[in-house]
Amino acid sequence: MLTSRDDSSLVVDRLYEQAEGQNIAVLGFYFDFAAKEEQSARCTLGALLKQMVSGMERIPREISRTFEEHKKTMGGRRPQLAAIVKMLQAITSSQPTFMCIDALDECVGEQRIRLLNSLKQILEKSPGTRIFVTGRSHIHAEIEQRLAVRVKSLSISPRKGDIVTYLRSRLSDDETPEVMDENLKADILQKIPEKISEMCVGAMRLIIPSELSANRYI
Amino acid sequence: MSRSAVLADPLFSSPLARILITDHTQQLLSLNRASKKYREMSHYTINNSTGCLNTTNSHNKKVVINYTVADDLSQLLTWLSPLDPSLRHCEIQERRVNHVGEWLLGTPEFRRWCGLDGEGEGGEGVLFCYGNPGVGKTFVR
Repeated sequence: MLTSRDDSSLVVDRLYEQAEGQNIAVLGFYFDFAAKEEQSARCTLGALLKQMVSGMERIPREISRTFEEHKKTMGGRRPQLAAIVKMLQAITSSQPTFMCIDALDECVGEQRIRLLNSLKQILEKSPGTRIFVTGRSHIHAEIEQRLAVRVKSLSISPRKGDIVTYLRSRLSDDETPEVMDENLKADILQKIPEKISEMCVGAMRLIIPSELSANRYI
Repeated sequence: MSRSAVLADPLFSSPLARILITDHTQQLLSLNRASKKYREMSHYTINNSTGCLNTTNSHNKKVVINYTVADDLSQLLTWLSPLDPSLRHCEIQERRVNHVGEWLLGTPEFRRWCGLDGEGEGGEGVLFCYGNPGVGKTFVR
């Protein structure tokens, strides 16, 4: 796996396949440091709830009631975090739920703390809820501490096979095939995985052109 | 037909209309559910209402109700959050290279977490996957 985002989306799709025909909710959220202003704990959990409601046969009473109340008494103002957590608690305790949260380390400061505290409240109410989180390793302890559960962890640095598969795909999409020959291709497929098996594909996007220029133009 | 005209329609407030509205809500939600991929979900309600409005002449009343229901559902969804992670999912899904990273789905940790290897017990509910520092995030955009 080359970036955590691909990873998370792969997991979401696999869970979707697995949940097909069953009463299981699969929810996903991708954090992005560049969107940190919009991605508050409130909007993030609201978005998870939104996905859940979209996939349901009927709108749960708890949610339509809260919506009507807000329309009447608060001029339709968005629900506060506490109200969202309450709705999520109600809905996840009646339906098995998988949540995938990508790049949690890109949710920063108090918003991450709020989000984790809210997830803890949801887990307390619906202990069957499963949460998949990606991020940099330093947030592992924080997740465990805030959620107050033991959190299994797994390293997702790319495997050599993944790098080769990725390189082949990139090479076949090459927009300038005229500067490529078989020797160079073989070189790329052999040397890059050896040298950078610890790096991600995002970085390789830059490396492929520079390898090319090193070989061909300089 | 404008939204105020829709709301002023006497049919809208009749008991029959309520039954129809319920039926259409269920239909809409079932279709939504059937579409499975959540990239389609938010678009669906919008497309559905637009599509229905185009056929106003032949099934006037039905269309009015359909429009109202779709409008209410999308209003509720927007009220829950302005964000739409399904679009992001769609972008990433399209960029993903086939078969890359599938090893993760076969690991005992993942299989246990998602319940493929027996029921998860306490403490198995949360799985954290970590990448090396600096991996990709600044390059990918």
